Amino acid sequence: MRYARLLGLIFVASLQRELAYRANLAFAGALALVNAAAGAATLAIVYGHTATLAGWHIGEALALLGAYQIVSGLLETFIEPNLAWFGGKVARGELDDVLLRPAPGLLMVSLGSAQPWRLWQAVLGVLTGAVGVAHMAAAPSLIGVLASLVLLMTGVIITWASRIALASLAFWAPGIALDVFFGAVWQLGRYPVSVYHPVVGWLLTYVIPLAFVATMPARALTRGADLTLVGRGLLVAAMAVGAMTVVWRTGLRRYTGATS
Amino acid sequence: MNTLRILGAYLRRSVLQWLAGRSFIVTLVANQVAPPLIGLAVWTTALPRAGSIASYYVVLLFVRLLTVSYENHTFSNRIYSGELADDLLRPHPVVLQPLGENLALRFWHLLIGLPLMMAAVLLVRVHLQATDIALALPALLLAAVLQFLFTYLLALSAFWTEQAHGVVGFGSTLIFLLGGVAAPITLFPPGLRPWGEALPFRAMMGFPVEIAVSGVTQAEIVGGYLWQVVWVATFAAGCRVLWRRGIRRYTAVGG
Amino acid sequence: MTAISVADLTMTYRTPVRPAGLRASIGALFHRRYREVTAVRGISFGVSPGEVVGFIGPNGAGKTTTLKLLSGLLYPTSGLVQVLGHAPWRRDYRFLRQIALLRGSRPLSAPPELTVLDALRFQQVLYDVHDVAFRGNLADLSAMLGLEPLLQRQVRALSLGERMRCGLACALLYRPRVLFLDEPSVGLDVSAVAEVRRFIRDYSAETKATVVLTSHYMADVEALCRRVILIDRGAVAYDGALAQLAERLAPYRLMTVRLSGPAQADWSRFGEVVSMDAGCVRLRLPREEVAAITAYVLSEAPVADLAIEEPPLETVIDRAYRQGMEA
Repeated sequence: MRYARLLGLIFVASLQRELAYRANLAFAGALALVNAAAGAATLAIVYGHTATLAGWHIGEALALLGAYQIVSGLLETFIEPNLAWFGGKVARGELDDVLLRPAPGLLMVSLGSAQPWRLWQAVLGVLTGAVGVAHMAAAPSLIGVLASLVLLMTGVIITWASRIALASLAFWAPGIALDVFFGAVWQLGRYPVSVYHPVVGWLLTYVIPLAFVATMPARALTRGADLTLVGRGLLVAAMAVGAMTVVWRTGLRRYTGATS
Repeated sequence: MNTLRILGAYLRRSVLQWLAGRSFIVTLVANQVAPPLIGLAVWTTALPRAGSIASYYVVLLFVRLLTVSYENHTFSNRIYSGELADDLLRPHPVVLQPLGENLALRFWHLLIGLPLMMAAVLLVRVHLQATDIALALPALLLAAVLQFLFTYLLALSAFWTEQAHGVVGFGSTLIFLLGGVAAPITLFPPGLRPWGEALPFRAMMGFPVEIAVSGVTQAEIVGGYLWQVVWVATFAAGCRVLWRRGIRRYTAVGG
Repeated sequence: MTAISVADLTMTYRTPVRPAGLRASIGALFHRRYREVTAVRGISFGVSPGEVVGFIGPNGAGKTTTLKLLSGLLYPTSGLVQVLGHAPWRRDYRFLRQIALLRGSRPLSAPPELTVLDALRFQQVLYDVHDVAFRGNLADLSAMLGLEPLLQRQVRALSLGERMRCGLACALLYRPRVLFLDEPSVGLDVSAVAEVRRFIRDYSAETKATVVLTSHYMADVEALCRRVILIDRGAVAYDGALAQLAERLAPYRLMTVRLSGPAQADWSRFGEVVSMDAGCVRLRLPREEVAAITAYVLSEAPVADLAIEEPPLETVIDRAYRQGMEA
């Protein structure tokens, strides 16, 4: 597909750009390692005091953390570099040359450049997840693993869609910068949603579907082939993409471009 | 003294500047309160019978907002953008400007975070002893100073690397894990507790909280204060050294 | 006592070489290559108090680097630099209180929401200007720069010309003894440029401040500087009066002849032909031959009008920049 090739080229170009700064490679790896260790260490301390956290055992919690890190890594590698400070770009008319290119504006705006070294986090997430699975009481079934992977994919799509929808609010209020706010809410995803107050948990499942990023994929691993879960995930992903497209298209009509 | 007057001018100027940007500070406050709130949720779920842990996290909310430090944004970015040249032409220590901005940001964080803190105090039913609070106040001041010095020290890395934001982020992760945010130091496994108490991170975050919720003995309080003083002196010296080296490098390569 | 003295000053940068292509980029991870750029090589000059000196030269010649070395923003690789008896790179506060550096590209660095008066009061605190002196200096500067209507305006609402005037006020509020101006006219419209030039000329005459300015506009230099230092590829190519520079670079004149009758076929035997249209010929002549050739042309051609003029300084310098300086 042409778009796949385009995204591939973008990634290679970003990689080339980053290779010019060689310290970044080692540094990003070290940083990702420290963050992953901090997350795992926190879980270790918590589970030193209790056997289950809201019904989740340590293996499951680690698998959840792994899923969270994979999606975070992909978010920071492919999506965040483009949508950070989107409000400023809209206000200054910097979307012009992106929108003039012969590729879907949505794709170019959200995936136009990449930060390759953030992938370290996703790699460590796979590792963390593997460690978690190894520590689980019962090994997950093949269907469970497949369901988990599908849900992980829907998690990535939901993340991408909601990040764009949030950034698109800038078309209505360019002064607003909600990137930090997204980051604040995102942090809630690293623990099972049942840890929070029931109202918060409900919000995180049905309003801001953060639960589908890590909690659901991890749950599929442990609770086995729950097809309603996968079905729900796909449905939410479809709805998220739909909502995002509507918000983006309506917002784009308000875009007035650069002034001079 | 003239230096104080200059600092006051920078503080006043930053407070006015950030008045215009207060909606952004709302998002910053949200980002700062998320870890303590998550910690509150996790630990009250893990240890439903431990009463003081909820109070710990509510007090931690306050300490976090009071010790907030963004020197990678207020200072490192000046090095990257070349604006540092303006600062080098002024007849006062360069640190006064980021310090003034730091104090202004803390002021706005506390002001904007006040409703949330009051709500948390009421919902969690926090009860603190007046004596504990009094004992915690000097520790609070030292923690605020220490976190500024620590962040400024890390922000000085901008003279040598383009990754200053990453370096400061690394420092934040250490404060998260070892400063009493991920878990109170008092809940660390017994082998690691002494390390947690000696390292500077608890001194700049969790220590005043522990005093306020009566989580530490008298002897431990004295020990904690001593560590705070030691770390303040260490980081202050480190900042001086790194500043001298850094500015020598900056002026040799033209920024 | 000289205000500025520079001896054998050199500034060399080391910049990494960044290769193209993915494979070369990966290779560069392991073998980093650097190249040395000498921005300023062994320059020497002295400036007396009260002088107004212009630095000119092609882009990248080292003018701005020299200015940064004089104001303490750069630490020299070798050589000596002294301004007002201080080594600028030491950043002694007593030294910094006596100098000002103003960049045409960013004349005013105050936060956008604050007013001009706020910015001036801020400068007052930074430079420890007493209230009486502040009021007096502000009144003087206000009169000379026309600041009255701008004082209560927010910085972000100012045009570039207004920013420049406010920037000058902020820089001169504490009466520095040395003023460095880096491209002061850049981006300004015609009337703003004239105002700024007028101000600098009057200010330096009145306060006897030493002024060093760099500019790409010959008109700035012509209007303000009796002395000019031409920096080319990091070295001083010329240091002296502006008039002599023009002579040295372009020892020729332009002759414009308007004809009353049909033109001669071959004008090139009189001199180098610059342009020729119906009834009007322009020639470039060596200075020494002007009198002889004028007589020749008058006797040989049907001349209605004949004018002799100096080549415009801009074109002279432009040719010098492009072709390099002949020693």
